[in-house]
Amino acid sequence: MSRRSMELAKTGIEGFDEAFGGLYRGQMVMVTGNPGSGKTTFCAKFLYEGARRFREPGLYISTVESKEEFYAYMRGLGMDFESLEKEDLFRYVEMLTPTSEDALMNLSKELTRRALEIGARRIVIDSITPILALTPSIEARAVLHNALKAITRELGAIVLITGETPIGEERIEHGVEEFVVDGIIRLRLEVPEAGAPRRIMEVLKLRGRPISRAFYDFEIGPPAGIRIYLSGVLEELESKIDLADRISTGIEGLDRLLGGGIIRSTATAVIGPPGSGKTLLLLTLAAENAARGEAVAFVTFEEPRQQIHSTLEFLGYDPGDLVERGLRILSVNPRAMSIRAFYDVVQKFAEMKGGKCSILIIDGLNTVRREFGVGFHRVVRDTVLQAKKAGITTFLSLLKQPEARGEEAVTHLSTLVDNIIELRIKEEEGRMKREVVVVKARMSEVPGRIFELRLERGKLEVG
Amino acid sequence: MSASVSELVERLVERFEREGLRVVRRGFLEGFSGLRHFFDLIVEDPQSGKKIAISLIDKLGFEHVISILGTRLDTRTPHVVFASMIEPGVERILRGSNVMVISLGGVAIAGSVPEGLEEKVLGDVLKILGGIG
Repeated sequence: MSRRSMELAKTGIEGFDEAFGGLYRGQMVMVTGNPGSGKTTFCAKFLYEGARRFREPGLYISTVESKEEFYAYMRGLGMDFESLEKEDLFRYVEMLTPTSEDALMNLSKELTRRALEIGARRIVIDSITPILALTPSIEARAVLHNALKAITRELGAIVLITGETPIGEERIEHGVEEFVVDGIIRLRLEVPEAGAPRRIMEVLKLRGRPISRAFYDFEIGPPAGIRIYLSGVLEELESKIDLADRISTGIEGLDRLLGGGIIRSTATAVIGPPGSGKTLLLLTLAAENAARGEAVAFVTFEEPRQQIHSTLEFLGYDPGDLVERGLRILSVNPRAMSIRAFYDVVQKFAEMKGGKCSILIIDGLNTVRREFGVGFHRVVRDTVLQAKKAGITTFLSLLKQPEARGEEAVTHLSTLVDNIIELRIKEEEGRMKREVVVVKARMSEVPGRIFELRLERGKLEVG
Repeated sequence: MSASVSELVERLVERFEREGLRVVRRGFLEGFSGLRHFFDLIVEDPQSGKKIAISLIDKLGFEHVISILGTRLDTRTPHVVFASMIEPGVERILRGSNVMVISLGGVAIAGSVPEGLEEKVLGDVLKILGGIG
């Protein structure tokens, strides 16, 4: 491969470049997956950003979709290919239903002629499957791929070819492609019995680059078109912890149980059954810290904003005053919420990257758990890791079933959070009594005893 | 193929043979894949065993690129393509994979072999055979 062709080019796909640096010129990469897995969008984004951001002309050869359909669909995802075409930065070639023996010659003609016409640096063949179907043997397919690779190198372009995997199967085309191409990216759409569908990108091969991790979540939708999530994956698990820098919970007795409050930049889970006081505790914490000038973000998936305001008033606080001082409240309907939206809502609301929020509280996570199904733990994990990295102190409330014990309630998350505060409800002498126990407090000495949690004159007290 | 091109080919075959090279008409080479690739001429130096594949195409266009490159890469044998007409740009792509394209445009149009073409082709073929490492 020539020196020119070893140049690394950014794909423009958010997340992909951060993970892999881009793709090498002169390389041919296969994007494979079941129908509906996002192959076309992935490839379109690669061309779109190449033309728009890097002024690199792109050629799209489609055997599956008309130009009108493609343009309309991509417009809906925030990609305007018509304007790129007017600037001679993009060409779309329809090669629909290539069923004749001339298909290979047509591909040859359209690919090379059009690529030279616009000086294409990025090329997509979507999909190669109908053409391969006309190629009788594995040997012939290998020869075809080698020829395509030679063209790729000669043009100094990056070529993505898509391959269809039948639903229910995981094989990559006919077995020869995985050896011939320079990279294999497999896209999957998992639809669990319960919860939101999950999109996964697997990078099985990328010549010239070590692959440190095989699975990445991604989402499709405007305005980005497609976005790969890296949260909590590649970045080092580092945070600046100062054991002496602690945040008060706003409840003196609870601070004592925690060895003087919550260490800043750590993550805390507040667990308990319904009615045990999780929201009251978190709102007290939010209000007291906002009153002290902390920038507090309170995200709830269970209660409308008005109800949160009413509860704050019940606890003796003035919501308007707290908002002025730095409390931000966001009430989100968890129904139909995708993983992408969750990341957007929490991260942007908390402004993690800008560092404007110092305390992030997420209440009602169990509601989201139902919507996300199996993807829930990873999403929460990523969010907490990002928050820690940004120096944000995080609090999560989680429902604990009465029969679950301590850390069992936060299985999978128990290694992630630094502190677990468990709230309980106990019936005693005909009345319901709330209790609190600090189950875990990393880097602190805790008594491990159970104390009563009382609501006195609108204030929570421990002891 | 026009009569004048056929005449040129025959004269070249004669010259190759006079140089001690073995020429097979409509022969095939087996590629590394095991596939057989057919050519109009296969010229072989019997002493070194080195070969050159020659194809004659009336109009060489972009539609031939994949097939020619696939053949070239699979046989790993130098390939010379004679064409009466060559679509602009095709030669550039083939040249990168060491496929030599020789225009017979003048032969087809004028009906006679331009002076020096026969010598040039012969010289190029001998050079390739001598230059195969």
